[in-house]
Amino acid sequence: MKRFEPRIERLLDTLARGIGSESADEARNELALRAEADDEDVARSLVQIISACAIATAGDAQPARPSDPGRGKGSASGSPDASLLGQLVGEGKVDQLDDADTLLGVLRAGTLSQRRAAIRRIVARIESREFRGEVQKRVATEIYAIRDVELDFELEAARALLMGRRAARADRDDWERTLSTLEESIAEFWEAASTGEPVSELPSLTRARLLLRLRDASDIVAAHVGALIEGNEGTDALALLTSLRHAADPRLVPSLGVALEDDRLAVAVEAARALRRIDDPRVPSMLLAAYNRSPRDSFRAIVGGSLADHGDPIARDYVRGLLDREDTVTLSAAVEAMESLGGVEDAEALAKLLDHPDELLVRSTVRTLGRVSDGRGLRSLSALRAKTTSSSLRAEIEDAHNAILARLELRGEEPTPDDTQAIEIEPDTPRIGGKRFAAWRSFLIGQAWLAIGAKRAGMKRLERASQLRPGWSSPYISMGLAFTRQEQHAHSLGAFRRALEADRRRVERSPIIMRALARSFIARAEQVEQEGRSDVAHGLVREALSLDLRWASGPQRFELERRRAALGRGLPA
Amino acid sequence: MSEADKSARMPTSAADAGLRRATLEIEVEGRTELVALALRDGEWIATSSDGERDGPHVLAALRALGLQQTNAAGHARSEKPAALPEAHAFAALTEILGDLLTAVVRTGVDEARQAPSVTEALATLKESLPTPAPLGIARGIGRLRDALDKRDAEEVANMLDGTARLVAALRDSGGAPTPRVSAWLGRVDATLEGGARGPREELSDRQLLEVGRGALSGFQRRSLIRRHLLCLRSGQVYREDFDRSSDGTAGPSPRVLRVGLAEGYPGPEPKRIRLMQYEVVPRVTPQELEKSATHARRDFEALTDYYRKSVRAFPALAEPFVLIAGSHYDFDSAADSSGRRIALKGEGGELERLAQLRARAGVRWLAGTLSDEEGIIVLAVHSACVARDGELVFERIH
Repeated sequence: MKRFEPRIERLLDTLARGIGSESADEARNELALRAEADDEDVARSLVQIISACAIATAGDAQPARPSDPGRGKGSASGSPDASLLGQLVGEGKVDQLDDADTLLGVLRAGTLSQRRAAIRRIVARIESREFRGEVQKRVATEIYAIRDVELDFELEAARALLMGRRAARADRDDWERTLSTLEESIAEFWEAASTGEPVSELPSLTRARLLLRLRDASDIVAAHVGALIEGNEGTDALALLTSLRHAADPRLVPSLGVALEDDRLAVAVEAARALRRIDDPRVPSMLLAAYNRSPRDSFRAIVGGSLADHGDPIARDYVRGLLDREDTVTLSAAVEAMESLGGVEDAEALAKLLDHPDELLVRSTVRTLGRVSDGRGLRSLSALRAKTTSSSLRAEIEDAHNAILARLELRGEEPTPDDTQAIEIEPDTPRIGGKRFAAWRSFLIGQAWLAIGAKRAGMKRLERASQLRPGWSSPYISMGLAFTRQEQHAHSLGAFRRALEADRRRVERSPIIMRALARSFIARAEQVEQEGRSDVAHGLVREALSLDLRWASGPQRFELERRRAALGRGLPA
Repeated sequence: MSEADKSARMPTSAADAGLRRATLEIEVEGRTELVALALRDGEWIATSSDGERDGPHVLAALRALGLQQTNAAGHARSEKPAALPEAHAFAALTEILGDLLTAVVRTGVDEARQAPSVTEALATLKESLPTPAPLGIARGIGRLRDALDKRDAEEVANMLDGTARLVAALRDSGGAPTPRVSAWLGRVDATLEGGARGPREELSDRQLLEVGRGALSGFQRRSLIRRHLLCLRSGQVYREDFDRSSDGTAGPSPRVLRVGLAEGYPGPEPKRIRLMQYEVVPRVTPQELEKSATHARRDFEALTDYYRKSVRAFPALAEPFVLIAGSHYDFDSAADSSGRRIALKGEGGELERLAQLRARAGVRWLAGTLSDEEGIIVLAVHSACVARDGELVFERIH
């Protein structure tokens, strides 16, 4: 139906086609202008009449009857995977699962949203006492073993439930005090009562925890972080966005939308990564607009991967086409995106990249294979594990391997014996030495001295024990832990390094040791950076990241990654 | 006799009687001055010879013609302009704008975006302006380009109508800082090239609640930043505009600004504001939100009138921003108590987000920019105030 009377509709048509066309004279007639009226007079009269009529009739029409959006998340994706995992695409699907082993399988092998949903479902089953006894123990073991920083927020809730109410309440109270203090600092900052930006002034691990679990924080904290993303309040927006990659807080969507439009490619890429994790209806159209607008392959690949996580696989073929590129930046982005876009049919193309000379690209490929591959990826991963000497890469391979096995299980498949052969874990080799007894004696006395607070005597005994039995890791570990407790991180690093030389496997498999070690590396890196030795700080962070950090805490791993990224760009961490 | 020009907004009753222009010789307390009045674009421009806008001679002239000054909402200053621009300061610009208008209409909206003549006219216009370009003209051109991209002939007509009125105002007034000229060509403090300052009102002791922020198209895409600020006392929504390369006021969204001193500028809705002394409070209390709710518009018929009036006064520049409190909400519309409805719009996913919020909490108000799409009044939602667990909270939607 036409909006205006016929005469105005004709003028509107003239404006659409232009008075340069043959209808110019007609327009002059319609406008009651003389034939010799110049084009500017015609133009002015034409737009004034149309504009006046549009204004006069604005609001005369009413909206059509209320419509329903009729859009369900994931419905547009048309998941090509017909297996159980493919069937679990879409809101609420994982919530229909009851079996503990199936939920644990989804937790290992599913997409990010499926893994999150699986943890929430497990928590609900524990709360309703449907997982009890042996089942609960098995679930608890798995929950504690997960090192995926992307799931940290959900895991926190599960662990709080498992650790007992009193401990959980103490932890929560402590955290709420921290947040309350932060809120006060934020208010003072904006009221100009203080000059230091409160989030950047938090101790690094507290800041990492805050940004990983921002969803727990109040609106004032979220709005403050949003302002830091959008504005320039003396903070590095890129470093902040990197830290917010896993925050998944819908309150940040408008600010991340601004960052997604940033002229700086790195900022826009990080915003796309952060948006990928946020379950919010505004995100898909934001990402789609960015995908359609940008000519940059690496950016489009990352955005395409994020879109896939929101149920839109529009970029699948495009990103597949980037996997044979030679430039590492585009290739890395494509591999990252394939984590969300890829399927088992992409395993072979991805496996070829395991021979790439860029170690970071290889790691990313391992992760992606773990997310998308079937048994075909296992052989390639086994081969890579057999030839690598890097602990951290071995850890990545092991995680990917476990994820693939879980996927095979959910798909009702079994790996061939060849697939898992190279992944077997070597048993410990017993150590025997001539002065073993004397070493043990010194070690135990040293421990006793330390227990009663005699640090100097204790350390002396532990040193003696290590001299008596070279290659024995226990004295070094005890020294490292003691130095860490005393906040003497420069000393603890030396002790931990010697322990790693003596028995890397033992050190890397102990949560207590790895958390202390990671703490020392972070603290020491912070110290030397403050002393102006950024290169040394960067070296420490890289060294820590070369270890198998799966038993370090999520915030510690996250903080190390963040520091590596910041220091790598030559920025303060 | 010094030539000074002062403008003030007057009722148009004299115009209804056919009066368009008058020059009066007025004697007050033994002193004689000339007062010139002219009707421009629905507003009376008062020109006095002594530089006193609200002086006794101007007031006596207004009384003599049965006009009374209505610019009493704020505290209109009576200040002599620093200097009038030379008449030819805007002559070139006037011609360039005229060329742009003609180029678009000659080519037609369907083809104008790619037409070399339009591209050249836009480039020439940009080159003729100082850097950064005045915010008003940058926004006007940004909207024109967006309308051309969408090939929306009605929208383009409105944008070009605004341009045509600016051209007429520049030709008629010789570049005097009328509200229209200032709105298009004024800098952040409403100063024109040449130093003349447009009309303004002084604001003090206000509490402004930020109810919207976003990036808008100027000469470049998303090159302008706009923040919408609701005065909790008067209910007036102001806009703080600034170029992306410069700093606006600091603070998160939402926030309350306790304003010690600010200037408001008459012009397109929402009125532009410049904050000079202010304090940022990042905590918005439920009481402040309760107060904001009293300013939400509940009568959508009156809302439509407000929209028409705003856009008619300043085509191309008016982008009315309001708070509405509907009696009933659907996914993409809101209705008042009489059943009159307006459409709700989001750039993408905002309405779904709103639906999520509505499922959990009651909506007290929605804030957003009004526009007209095919004769339907549409609110592009920026933010909402919802009652969550019995407490009002602000939700940024856009």
